[in-house]
Amino acid sequence: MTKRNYFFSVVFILLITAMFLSLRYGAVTSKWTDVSQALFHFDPANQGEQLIRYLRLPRMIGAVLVGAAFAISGALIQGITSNPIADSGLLGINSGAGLGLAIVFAISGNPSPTVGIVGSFLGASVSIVLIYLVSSKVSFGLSPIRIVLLGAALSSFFAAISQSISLLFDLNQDMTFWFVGGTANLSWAQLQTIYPLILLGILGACLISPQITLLSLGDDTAISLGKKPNRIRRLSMLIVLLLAGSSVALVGAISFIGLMVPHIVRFFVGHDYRYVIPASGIFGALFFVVADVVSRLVAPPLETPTGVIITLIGVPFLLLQIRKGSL
Amino acid sequence: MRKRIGWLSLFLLLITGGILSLTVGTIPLNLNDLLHVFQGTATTSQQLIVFDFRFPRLLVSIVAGMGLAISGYLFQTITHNDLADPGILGINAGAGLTVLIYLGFFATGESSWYLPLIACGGSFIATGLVYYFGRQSERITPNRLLLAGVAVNAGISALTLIGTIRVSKDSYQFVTAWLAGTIWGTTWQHVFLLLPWVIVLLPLILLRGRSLEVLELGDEVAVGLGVKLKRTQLFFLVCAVCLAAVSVSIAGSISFIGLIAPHIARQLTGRKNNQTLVMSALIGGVLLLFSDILARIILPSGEMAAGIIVSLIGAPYFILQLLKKSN
Repeated sequence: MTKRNYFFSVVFILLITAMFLSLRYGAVTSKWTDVSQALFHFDPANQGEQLIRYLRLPRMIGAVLVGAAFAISGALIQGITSNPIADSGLLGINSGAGLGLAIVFAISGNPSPTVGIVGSFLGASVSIVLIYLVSSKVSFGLSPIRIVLLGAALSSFFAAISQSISLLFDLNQDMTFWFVGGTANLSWAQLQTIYPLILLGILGACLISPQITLLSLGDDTAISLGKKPNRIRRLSMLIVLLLAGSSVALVGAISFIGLMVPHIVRFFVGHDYRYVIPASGIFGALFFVVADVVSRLVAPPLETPTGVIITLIGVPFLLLQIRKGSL
Repeated sequence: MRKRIGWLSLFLLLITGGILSLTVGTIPLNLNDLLHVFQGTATTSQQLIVFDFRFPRLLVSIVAGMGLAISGYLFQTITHNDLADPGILGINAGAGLTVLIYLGFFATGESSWYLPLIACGGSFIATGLVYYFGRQSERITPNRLLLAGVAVNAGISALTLIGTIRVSKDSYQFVTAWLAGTIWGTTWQHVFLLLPWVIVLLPLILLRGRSLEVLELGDEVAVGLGVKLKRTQLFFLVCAVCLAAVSVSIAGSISFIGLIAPHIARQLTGRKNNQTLVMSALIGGVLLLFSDILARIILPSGEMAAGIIVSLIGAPYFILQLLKKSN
C-alpha cells in the first residue's frame, strides 16, 4: 500500500520537474525568467518567450499526452490478451495508422490535422480488427507469440505499401521523419484537435480498468462473476484505437513505450489494473517527456527522433527480460 | 495428382518467368531477338543486355528466392512455428545496418564486390545476438528465440534510422532501396558469390532430411527416436542463417518469401519431407523472379523494389491463411 503511494507521489513530482525542464532545455537553453514569463505574463514581442510559448509548450503538452496514451494502450492490450509482450507498435497498430496517413498524404499533399487523424484512425482500425479476429477465434492468450508474429507480418506489409506509395507519389522526405516518430513538428492546431480524443481515451481506460482486472483472472472467473469477457475486450479495443490512433497521428509510429512502461509499473503497484492503468499513464508521460528532452540534447542542433531514443532504451530492457526468462 | 500439377505449373512458371525476365525492361526485346541472341547472331548491344545484365539478374533472383525459401522451411521446422520468417532472426536488419555503416563511413568510390560479404557479416552478428538472448542451456527454445528476434530487429532498425540521418544523400538512397528489397547484385560476380552456397548446402540438408522430418514430430519425440536434439537444431539453424544471409546480402532485404513459400509447398504436397523442401525452394525462386519482373514493369526506372512486390503479394496470402486457420 505504502509502496504504491510512494510510487505515485515520486513519479508525479518527477513528471512536474521534467515538464518544466523540457520548457527550458533544447538547442537553445532558455532562462527560467523567460519560462515563467511565457507561462504567466506572455509578451508576444519577446523572442525567447515566443520560442517557449509556440514551440516548447505545445511540444511538452503533446509529449505528456502521447506518452500517457501509448503506455495506457499497451497496458490495456496486455490485459485483455493476457499477453505480456503486447504493444501497439509490435502488433502492427502503429504501422496501420502510418499507412492511413501515407494514403492521406498521397491524396491531398498537405492534409489538415483532422484529415490526418481520420486517415490514421482508419489504418489503425484495420490492424485492430484483424488482430481481434485472429485472436478471438483462437482462444485468447493461448499463444502470444502467434499474435506478435502476426503483428510483425502486418507491420512489414503496411510498411511495404507505405513505401510504395511514397515511391510512387514522391513522398520520401515528408514521410521519413514521420515514420521515425518525433515531436519536433507539434503545433497548437494539431494539439487542439487531438487532445480531447486522448483525454476521452484515458478516461475510458480508467473506467474500464476494474473489469480488466477481472478479465486477467481468466475468462471463466469473469463469466462466473457475471461479466461478458468479449464485450469488455471489444470496448477496450475501441479505447486502444482511440489512444493509439490519435497518438500516432500526432507523433508517428513509436513502439516499446506501451510494452515497457506497464512492466515497470507492475513491479511497484501490483497487478490490479485499477492502479496499473493510471500508474502507466503518469509513468508513460514522464518517460516520454524525458526521452523528448534527451532527443534534443544528444546532438544539438540536430534532433534525434524521440522514437529512436525510446526504442534504444526499450530494446535492451526487453532483451534482459527475455534473458531472465520472465517473459 | 495435385502434386503433379504443382510441379508442372512450377516448371512452366519458371520458364515463362525466365523468358519474361530476359525480354522485359527499358529496352524491350521480343522472342525473335532473344533467339538471335542465343544463336549469337544479334547486335552486340542486345548480346550485352542479355548476357551481362539480364541473365545474371535472372539467376540472382531465382537463386536468392530459393535460398530464402529453404531457409524459411528449415527455420519453421526447427521452431515448430509456421509463422516464423527467417527475417525475424535479424538477418535483414543486421545486413542493412552494416551496409549503411560501410557505405556511410568507410566506402571510397564504387561499391565493390565485397559489399555482400560485409552484409553477410552483419547478418551473422545480429543472429548471434538473437541466439545469445534466446538460448537456453539444454536446447533451443523457439518462442524465446522469436521474441529475442523481434527485439533485436527493432533495436537494429532504430540504429539504422539514426545512421540514415547522418549519411550522405547517395548512401541514404542506396540503403533505402536496399532495405526495400531492390535486387542490386546483378553482375556475374554476384552470381558466383551466391550460387555455391545453395549448391553445397541444399544436398547437405537433403541428406539429413530424415532427421528434419523427425524434428517435425516434436522435440521430445525426436529425442526419443535418437536424434541428437541440440546438435541437429544447430546444424539446420546455421544452414538456414547462411542461406538467408547470403541471399539477402546479394538480393536486398526481402521478407515474406521464407514465410509463404513453405506454406504453399506444404499445401501442394500435403506433407513435409525432402520433396516439400525442394518444392518450396522452387516456389521461392519463382516468387522472387516474378516480383522482380513486376517491379520492373510498374516503374521501369528501376525504383520499385522487388521486395515491396513480394510483401504486397505475400502478406495478404499469409493473413488469409491465418484467418482461415483460426476458423
